[in-house]
This record gives sequence, C-alpha cells and structure tokens, in this order.
Amino acid sequence: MEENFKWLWYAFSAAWVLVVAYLFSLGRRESKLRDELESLKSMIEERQRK
Amino acid sequence: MDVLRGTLIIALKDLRVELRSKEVINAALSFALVILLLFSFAFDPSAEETREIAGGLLWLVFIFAGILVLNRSFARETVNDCLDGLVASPLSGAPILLGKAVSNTVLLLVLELVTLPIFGIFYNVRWTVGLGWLLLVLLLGTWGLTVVGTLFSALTVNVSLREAMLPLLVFPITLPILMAAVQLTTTLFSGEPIAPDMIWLRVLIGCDIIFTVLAGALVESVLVG
Amino acid sequence: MKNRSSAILAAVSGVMLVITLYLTFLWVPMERTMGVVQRIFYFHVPPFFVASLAILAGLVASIRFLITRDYRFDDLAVSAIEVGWVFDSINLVMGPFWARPVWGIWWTWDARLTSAFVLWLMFAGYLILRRAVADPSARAVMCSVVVIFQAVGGVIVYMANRWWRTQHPQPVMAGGQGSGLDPRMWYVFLFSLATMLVLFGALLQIRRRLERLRREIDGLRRTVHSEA
Repeated sequence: MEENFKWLWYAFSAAWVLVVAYLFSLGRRESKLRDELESLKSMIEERQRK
Repeated sequence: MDVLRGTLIIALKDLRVELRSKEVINAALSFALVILLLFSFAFDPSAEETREIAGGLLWLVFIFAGILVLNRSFARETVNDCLDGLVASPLSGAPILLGKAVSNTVLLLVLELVTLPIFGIFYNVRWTVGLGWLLLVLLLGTWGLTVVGTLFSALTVNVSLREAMLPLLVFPITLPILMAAVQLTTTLFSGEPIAPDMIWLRVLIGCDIIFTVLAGALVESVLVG
Repeated sequence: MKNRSSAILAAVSGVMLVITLYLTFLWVPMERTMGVVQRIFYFHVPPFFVASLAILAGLVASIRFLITRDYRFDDLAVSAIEVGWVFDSINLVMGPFWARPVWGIWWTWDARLTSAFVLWLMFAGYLILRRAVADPSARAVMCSVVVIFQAVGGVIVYMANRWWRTQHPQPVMAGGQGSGLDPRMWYVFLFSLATMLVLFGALLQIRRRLERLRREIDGLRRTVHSEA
C-alpha cells in the first residue's frame, strides 16, 4: 500500500508540473506580446507627432 | 474529361523529367538497400520471428525510401518558379495533384518491385505465393500514402525543415493505411489465405477513397492559399 | 468583455478542480484490487476525452476558416490544438504511473494508448508546422488543411486500432475501466470530466487572447513599416 502511494504521487506531480508549466508559458508569452504592443504603439505615436 | 487529360499530362511530364536524370529513383533504391542492411543488424534475418514481422519490415523500407520520392515531387518545382507557372496554368489543382500522385505512385511501385525480390532473398521470405493479391496490396497501399504525401509535399514546399516535416505530418495521418498494408502483407508472406483479413482490404480501399477525395478538395487552398 | 469570461471560467475551473481533488482523495470508495493507485484513473482518463474533443474542435474551426477566411477561426483552431496537446500530454504522462504497479509494465501498444500517442504526434506536428511558417495567411491555410487531414486520419486510426489490437494478446486489466464501476466512482469520473472541460475552456480563452494580441501586433507592424 505504501508502495502504491509513491506511484500516485508521481502521477499527480507530473500532471501538475505540466499544467503549471503551460500556465507559465502562457503568462510569459502574453507579457512579451504586450510589451511589443506597447513599444509599437509608442513608435506610432512618435511618428504622428513629427 | 479535362481533369483526366490534365492528370495524364502532368503525370507523363513528371515521369519524363525523372527518367531523364533518374536521380530520385536511384537515391531511393540505394536508400532502400541501406535500410535492408541496417535491419539485418537489428533483427536476425534467419530467425522464425523475423518472418512474422516481415510485412512490417518491408513496408518500413518502402515508406522511408518512398518519402524521398514524395519530398522531391513539389520541391523540384521550386526552381525557376515552375510552381508558379503550374498554378497559373489553365490546369486546376486537381489534375496537378492527381498527376503528380500518379507519377509518384509509378516511381514508388518501381522501387517496391525492385526491392521485393531482394528482400525475399535477404530475409528468406516467399513472396511469389498469392502474388496477385500482393500486387493489389502494394498498389492500394502505395496510392494512399502517395496521395496524402503528394499533397503535403505541396504544403511543405516552402517550409523550413521540409524533409523532417513531411514524415512527421504524413505518417500519423496515413497510419491506418500502413497498418492494413502490413497486416495483409504479413498474411500473404506466411502463405495463409487472405479471407480473414478482408476487413483490412476494405480499410485500405476506404482510406484511399477518403484521402483522395479530401486531397482533391483541399489542393486549391494549398496551392493558391 | 473577453477578459471577464476567461476570468469566470478560470475561477470556476479552479473551484471544480478543488472539489474533484476532494472527491478523488477523500470521498470515493477504495478500489478493491488496485487500491490507492486506481485514483489516478479520475485524472488520467478525462484529459484524453478533452484532447479528442480538441482535435474535433480544431477540425470544425479549420473548415470554417477555409470557407470564411475569418482569422478568428484560425485563433480558435490553434488554441484548441495547443491546449489539446497539453491535455493529451497529461494523459500520456499519468498512464505509465498507473500501468507500472498494476500491469507490471510501463507501456503497451493497445488501441487506446496507441491512439493517444498518435494524437500527441499530430498535435506536435501541427505546432511545429505553425512555428516553421512565417507568413500569417499561408500559415493559417496550411495548418487548417493539416488539421482536417489529421482529424479524419485520427478517427480512422482509432477505429483501425480497435480491429488491429484485438488480434493480439493484451495484458489483463485488473478492475478495468468502466467495467462494473461503483456508482460513486462514476459520479467522480463524470465530475472530473466536467472539470477538465471547463479547464479546457478557460485555457482556450487565454490562448485565444494571446493569438488576438499577436494579430494586432502583426497589423500594427505592417502599418509602421508601410509608413517608414
């Protein structure tokens, strides 16, 4: 029985690692995109001011 | 019918081009022989078990060598903007696809018919029994793989890592064709009657029809965008 | 507006996840033959259903994109495929941890596992192709065509595998999935499936937002370069 808890633990840890890693990936990609969007918008504003 | 004529024109053109240089067929045949050599290290050709997986081994040789042929199919057209010329021609997508699929099938069948006796010798497999059925299986299996492979060759023609993308995309999709072909081939090699495996023949025919129709329907999007 | 719906979905899925965990570990009765390990079942099987749903969603979205050329369908397709890939990965990763103590082997090439693996390869192929094509319109068209073939092929693979693998000896599954399940186990399983579907929806919305951002950037970039 002790033995089987080990497998249960591995399985759930693996699943959680995947979910958390994906959420991190989504978050990081979104912040990178938002930064790029901001820089593009400010570039356009500068051009229009000229 | 215009589609039929167009198909014939393209098929003959591609075959004529290939026959002039013979570069793809030579490369594919050499590669097939190399694979047979490598297999001899992985499996003991004399063992009884090898005979049970002979069908699988043979088709693995076909698909790995065959992918070279399929890759070349549209890659050849990127030189001198030939692909743009084809697309701009009065031919619609369907004859271009079918024509190239026919020519690829012919080339692959040549590859297979040359490899088969060599395989028979190397692995002591009797392939002459039920030869008619075997040829039918070769034809149906090859067509299914080729029609999907040719369409995806067009799709990946401008993609980086084209050589790796084609197998990665084509094989999972055409897995049922492979499974059916392998099952039927193994049965034929063992000399058993084909009757209990009829369902696999139906799978082959069904897949061929479904994938041909699908490819024909989608080829315009692939070629034109 | 979109942000609110994804926030709600995220919150709901979070709550449902907690409930499912409670049900799995504290409420559902112990399985007789396999013991504690059997509880993996409640988190291991539903993701496969979600992944299968994902590729079908990708199929529908891709067909609609090819017909209408509305890029919102392409957003939906890529999001469904990517999130579906994550769910299929969960399924594939949890399985061996169940198989090892129960069957004594890590893997077997039976109908379900082979289908799950083929599905994973299909998702991966799509995602790699996605990154390999630079032009957005070509990328969307190509990926749509690929998904249509993959979904059709995937269905055929699943059916063909059932015929194929029944001819070969299979390991006997002690307890078995869905065979004579205690009704309480069924409830937990169905609730877990519902949770996974809501979670899929939440992740889908987030991913779609990402894709919309990317398109907005692409559009702005074109404006910037054209004025330059």
